[in-house]
Amino acid sequence: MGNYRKKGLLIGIAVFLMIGIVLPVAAGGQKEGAAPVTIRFAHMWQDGASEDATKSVAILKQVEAANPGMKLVHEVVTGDEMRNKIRVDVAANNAPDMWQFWVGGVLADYVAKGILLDIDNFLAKSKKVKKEDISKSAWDSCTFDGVVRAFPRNISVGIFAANAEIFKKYSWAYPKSWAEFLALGKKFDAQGVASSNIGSKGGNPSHFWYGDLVCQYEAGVTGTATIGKTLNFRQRPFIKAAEYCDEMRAAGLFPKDVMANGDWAPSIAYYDQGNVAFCYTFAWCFANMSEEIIQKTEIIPIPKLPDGERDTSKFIQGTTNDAYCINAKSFEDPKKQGYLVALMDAVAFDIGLMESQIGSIVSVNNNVMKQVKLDQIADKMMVKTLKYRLANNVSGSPMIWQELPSNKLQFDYQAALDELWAGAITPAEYIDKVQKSCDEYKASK
Amino acid sequence: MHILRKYKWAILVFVGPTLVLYTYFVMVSIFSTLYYSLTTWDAISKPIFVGFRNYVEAFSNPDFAIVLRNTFVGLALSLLFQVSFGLIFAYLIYRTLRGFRLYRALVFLPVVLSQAAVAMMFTLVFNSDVGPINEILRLIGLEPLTRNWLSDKEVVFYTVLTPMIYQYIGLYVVILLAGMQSISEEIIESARIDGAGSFRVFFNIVIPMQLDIIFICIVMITTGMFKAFEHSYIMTWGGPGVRSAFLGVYMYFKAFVHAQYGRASTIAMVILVAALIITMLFRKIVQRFSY
Amino acid sequence: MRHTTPDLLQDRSSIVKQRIGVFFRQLTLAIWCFTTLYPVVWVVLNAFRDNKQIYGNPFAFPNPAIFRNFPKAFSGVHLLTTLTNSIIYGVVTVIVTMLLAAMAAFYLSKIARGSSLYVYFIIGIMIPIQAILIPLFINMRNMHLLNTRLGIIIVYVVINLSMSIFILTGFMKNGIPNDLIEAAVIDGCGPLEVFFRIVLPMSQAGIATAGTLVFLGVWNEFLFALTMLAAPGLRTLNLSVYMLRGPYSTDQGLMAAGVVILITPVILMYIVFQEQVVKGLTAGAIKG
Repeated sequence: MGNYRKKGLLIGIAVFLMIGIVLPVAAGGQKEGAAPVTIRFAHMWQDGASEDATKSVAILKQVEAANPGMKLVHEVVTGDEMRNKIRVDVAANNAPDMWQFWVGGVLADYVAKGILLDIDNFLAKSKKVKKEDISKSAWDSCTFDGVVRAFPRNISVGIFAANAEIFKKYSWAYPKSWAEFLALGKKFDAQGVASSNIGSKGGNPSHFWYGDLVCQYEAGVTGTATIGKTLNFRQRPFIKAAEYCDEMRAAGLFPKDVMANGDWAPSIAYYDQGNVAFCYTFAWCFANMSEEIIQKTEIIPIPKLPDGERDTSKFIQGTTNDAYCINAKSFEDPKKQGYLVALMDAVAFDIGLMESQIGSIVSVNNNVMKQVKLDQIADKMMVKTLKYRLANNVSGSPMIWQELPSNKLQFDYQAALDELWAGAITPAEYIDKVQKSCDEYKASK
Repeated sequence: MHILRKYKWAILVFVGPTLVLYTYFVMVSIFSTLYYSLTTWDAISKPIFVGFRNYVEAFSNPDFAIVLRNTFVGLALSLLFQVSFGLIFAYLIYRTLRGFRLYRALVFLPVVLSQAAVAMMFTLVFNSDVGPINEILRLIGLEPLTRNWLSDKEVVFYTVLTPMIYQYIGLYVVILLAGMQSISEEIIESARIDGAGSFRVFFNIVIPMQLDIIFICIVMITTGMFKAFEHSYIMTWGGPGVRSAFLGVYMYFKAFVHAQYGRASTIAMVILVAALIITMLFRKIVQRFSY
Repeated sequence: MRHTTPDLLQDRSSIVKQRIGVFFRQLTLAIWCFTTLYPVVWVVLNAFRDNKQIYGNPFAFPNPAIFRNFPKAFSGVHLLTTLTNSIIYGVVTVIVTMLLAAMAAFYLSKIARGSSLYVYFIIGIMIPIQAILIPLFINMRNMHLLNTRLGIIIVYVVINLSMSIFILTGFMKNGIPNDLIEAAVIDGCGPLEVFFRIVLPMSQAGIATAGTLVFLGVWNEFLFALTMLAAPGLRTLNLSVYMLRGPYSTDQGLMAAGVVILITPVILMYIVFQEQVVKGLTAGAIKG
């Protein structure tokens, strides 16, 4: 009996190993003839998770239905994990045909490797999108060495707002000057009102707030836009902004626990409680605001720094945020090109329009935004925001984070902000830390 | 066992397939990691060989020193609490007639939950405005003891360590309990008949016989602490700065956020060697004490 | 298994002492088990709340109760597909890993005690998964095993081998008396028979422990599932629950519903499995 057992085991192991080695060889490879062409699209819409996601997936399915030769594989990854997935895939030569990504430093590595398609090639074949539909600054954010490498999707839309009910209750006026702003800190404390929801975890939402202070200086705007080349963080606007943030912290204008109330969901939930005077947030949090808090929320300009130069009612942080990437090799494949064009058209136009109408994004495509009926947008906070932006001709100012050329630099910048917000380091130390990281990056080039 | 040594082919059958799979998939990957630790690599372009530069930079980096300190202190505390609590609760359940199965299932529950869920819960537990820790402190008049548990640089390390220790106590309870159940009943009975009370039985019989199992727990706690990542990442992003970061989080950031895969591999190698050394150390200690 | 000295051998005062002991034991355990049960209860309650309630009043009752999370979570995780996949990956991985690990552990604990092979295998526990992700992934890619069930199962087996071998070796070393094995060999059994007839049955406690860990590891595994199982039809439940997050912020109530869906099968399995283990242990404890 032992012998049979032994033989059985050996055969079993051999079979197992064979399956593992032989099968893969048999499995891979292209299929000939009328078999469908597989298009792999990595996106963030999980069917059923939200209205936006469900409708987006529905539109994608329509594309598939209209193109019988195409088999669309949805590789759904939400949030930051997309960054991990793409990196692992590219490392193994397994990049998807198209994927949803962000602009800025995150694209740099992929551009260098040459896997991203020159978007002009797509535009030449597109039936729904023309280059003029999208603003130059949006294209610029995706341009490397004069070539557009990603298709911009939306702009980040930020707001600074106050809980009007609280201000009315205590007969406080909205602060216009920095001194008024700081003085409110004591008043809030006396009445047991929380000052703001500007926390910091992973640099969110703090890095935007910091940028909004920096961009109150003309030199701040140019300094931000060029930081990728200059790698000089020791500029006056950056230093001053850090000192002013520290002043805010000392005056009690940040949440007491900046880490616990940092990051998007906790920070907006904190404001949603109704006892927080100021709100600073971005459009992707609007969905988490309750009806009643939206009604009480009034958008106001950020208080002006004592030596601030620009009119704070006319700008706020926000540039192109997301972008779609197309795999250059996939596009050059004649079997795939037509399908990729159809897919990208639907994503850039149809899905962009649908999402803008729901109010979950603000598309960079002016043609799309023209067709959006403002008052029919479901998200009421988005309606308020867009109306304010139109009335004040608000423009977006550049984001330091986006302009930083490497992932590590971005991370160090975000981590240093966490420390500054928590009062764990001084403004001077903060500047030193970020500058040190810039220097390290410079040295590595 | 000499008596079985004559079956030479036993080696092939019992260990062969495992050896092949493990070597081909795991060991090769570990050697790749060793190679990458000597390079600069962003996982996309070609790796550039730089020799030991990553190691030198890591060990001269003050952040790395903080992370190392955090990991070792965390390890000491984990061993202290998880082994002792594990033994105590395992023994209590072991001695309990009624509700044995119920208790064993209940202690294990946090282990089943994802680390993300537990981390989320503790983030709210330690929330300085609405979290119960501060609320209770205020209620019983200990207001001065309240803290910003997640932002205060003095305490954030302990805040993050708490769920890391808490969540897996149940795992070691179950393992130690399984070990206790293989102690032969006669030994316990004769000890009790000889008049030994619960404590004596616990310290003089149960623990010595459990040394192998305790060793298993120690190794699991050690390797767990060196690889731990999720709680710190979710609660505080390892911060502020790196004050609540551990080796696992640090490595994750290097690999997936900074895209410095070479440096990340260096950290991985440090983790491997450190965990191995500590394991071997404990093995020697346990061997000294066991019979 | 549980020990109490028969009443005949005790006098009055020690019976009282014993009852007090029982009381304190039960009390301590009850208190601790309350703390371990609480997180699960909390998650279940959260599934009926929204972000405003959860962040505003983290540990209160749902007020008002929200019922939309569960239907949304169910549709969002595509339960039938992902649950089936998770179970398949879990069960197959456990069976294969336990078999391979038990054989290796038997060899390491009884046939070739103290060999350096033990240390060789243990190294696998010490390396973080994220470190070997890329080399392993590239390996799988070259073998065309990406996006296949076989591929992910192989990955799960190999990353769990070290820990399983380690645990089982520990349990087998002292848990299986050498004289039993020697007796069997003298009676004419070969190693395979010793393994299947004596070692495996007597290792049930260790196998139950290691098997539970492996199953949990596979059930809650994220990184490899994310990168290796891109196609929707192969996805695991854990992955789908994760995807209930929005791109920037999460509906914690929805996530809680997802987590409840995620842990329910495991808890059920543990309850059922626990019965089997108890039976196996009592059977194994009776020595012939």
